[in-house]
Amino acid sequence: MTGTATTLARVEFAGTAVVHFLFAALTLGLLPVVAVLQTRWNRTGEATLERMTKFWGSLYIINYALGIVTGLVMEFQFGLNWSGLPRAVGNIFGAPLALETILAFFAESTLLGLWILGWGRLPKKLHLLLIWLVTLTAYISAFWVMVTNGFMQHPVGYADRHGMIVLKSWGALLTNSGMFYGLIHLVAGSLTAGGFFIAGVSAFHLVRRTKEKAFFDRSLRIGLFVGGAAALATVLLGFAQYGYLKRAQPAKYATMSGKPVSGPAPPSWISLPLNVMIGLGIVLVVVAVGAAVFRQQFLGSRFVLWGLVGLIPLPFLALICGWLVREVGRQPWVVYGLVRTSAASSSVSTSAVLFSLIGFSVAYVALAGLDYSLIARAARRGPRDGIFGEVPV
Amino acid sequence: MSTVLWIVLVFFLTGYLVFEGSDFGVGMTMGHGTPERRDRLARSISPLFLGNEVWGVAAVGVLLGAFPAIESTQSSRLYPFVVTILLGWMARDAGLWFRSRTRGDWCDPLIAVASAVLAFSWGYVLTDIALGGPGILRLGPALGGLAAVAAALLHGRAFLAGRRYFLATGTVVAAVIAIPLLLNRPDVAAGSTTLVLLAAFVLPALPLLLAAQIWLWRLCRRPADAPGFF
Repeated sequence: MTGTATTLARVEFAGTAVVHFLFAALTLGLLPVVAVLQTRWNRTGEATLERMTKFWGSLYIINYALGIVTGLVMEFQFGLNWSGLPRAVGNIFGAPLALETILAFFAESTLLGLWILGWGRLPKKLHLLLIWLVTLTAYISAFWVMVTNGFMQHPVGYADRHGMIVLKSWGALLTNSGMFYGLIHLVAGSLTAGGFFIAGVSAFHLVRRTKEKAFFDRSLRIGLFVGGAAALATVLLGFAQYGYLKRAQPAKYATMSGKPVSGPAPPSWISLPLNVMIGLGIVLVVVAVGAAVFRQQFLGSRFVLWGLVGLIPLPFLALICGWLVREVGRQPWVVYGLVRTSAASSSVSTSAVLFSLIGFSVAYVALAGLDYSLIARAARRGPRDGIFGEVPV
Repeated sequence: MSTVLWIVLVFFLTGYLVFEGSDFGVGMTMGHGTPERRDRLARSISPLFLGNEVWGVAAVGVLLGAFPAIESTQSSRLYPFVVTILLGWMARDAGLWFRSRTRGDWCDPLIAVASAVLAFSWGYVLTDIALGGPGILRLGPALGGLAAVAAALLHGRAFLAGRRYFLATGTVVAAVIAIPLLLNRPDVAAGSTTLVLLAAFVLPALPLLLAAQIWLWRLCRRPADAPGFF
């Protein structure tokens, strides 16, 4: 690949990863809440809890569509544009992704199909088990993806056999600190996004004084609790990585702190998304603490409620910033210290890469725009009956 | 161990083409007819397509994990057709997923075109790999693509006609895909530690995954005119 083609391929991958990340994060953030709501409904039999499960669950499903198709494109893109990567480190790199597709993707979609179809047709306990299994597989999915990503950040457990990188120790691969710190920070960030999404949608209904006051009062409190606690955890777990980063990726660490670096280093602009991310994290923590301390006065104010609606995109913006710091900060390496990004690209023409970049970009913009407008419409309409085609009792 | 994982790969790919092949066939005919007819067709495939397409995702996963060299050489060689598979896949999913949520009539023609693109591109790619040889745009694979479109239409008709017909055409599809692939096991696989890691997780999970799939199919036995999520 020429330099231009490599740049185009990087833009293509970044676009795919970021769009995928936004939808996958909301999946990880909403699922545990839906599962807990359904569990509480099963225990108490309260009708509001059933409606809450269905409403937030249906928003998660509309969101899931984009997570699938962008995840699919990512999986194929390694072979299309980055065939040097499977060639150089395919022994390690592909295995966690393979396990992700089978143990998580395959299971998640099948079980989700069962959960959607199972409303009103399966025994309640079995149906509850399904949503917990869907949640579990979504988190297993995040785990295996981060095992691959952790290896790219901090290669461990490998041996170099005549220029061929092979897996030597599974244990090292599966307990890689490059995976672990990233995973917990990402999970907390996803729960932040899910929590503030629930809080923002609920605030919208409260401020517009729709008829579902009790429903959204309760949802607002759940969203603020989950989002606030997760925001605090995200900030703390973010800073907790610094010691590890300093040791494992000194060039990234130095660039993040704005220090000059000699030798291979990422572009200096990564300190900007870093600071934006930290700033957003602190804003979200402050809002959550304010809501916890002042409660009634705070949540009774129309100004505050509109503010919560406006906060919905912020955790997602922070997620993109975090992705940029972590992945652009890895440059110029695709596997840190082992394989350079320029050496990983396929031998395909610039026009071929341009063709796929244009095709995928058009598709993402159209589909992501459509999906977000559908989520927004379903969120605005509020809870309604028969959404899963179940027979009304 | 590489033989075991090759069989797993062929199993997933065959499952994908058998189950999704009929979805492509039904999807291709959704561009015309009365709204009631198109709704009925969509309801016959939409509860299952999510569970069907993951067979293909799993096949590509095994390819990437256990046979990375094949993935990297074939997909950059067949670049344009891999891109059309992905674009078709995205468009078809979006159409099925959103048709009941958007009131626009554009979904059904999109599903029809995207299903045809998917069937043709898969036929092209698989025939090309089977024939071997250099070059991208060739007659043989193009005929293979057209044959795949015709086969998918027939297989889709069989799916709508009933389980017995679907089983018959499905067996033919499975034989055409699986037998040549099983007879031509590649000799390039990942290292042994990688293969053992893969097998250790995948083989115990397989029976559970199949049980979930069978359960999904059984749950779908219902009148297709009942309203649903999709």
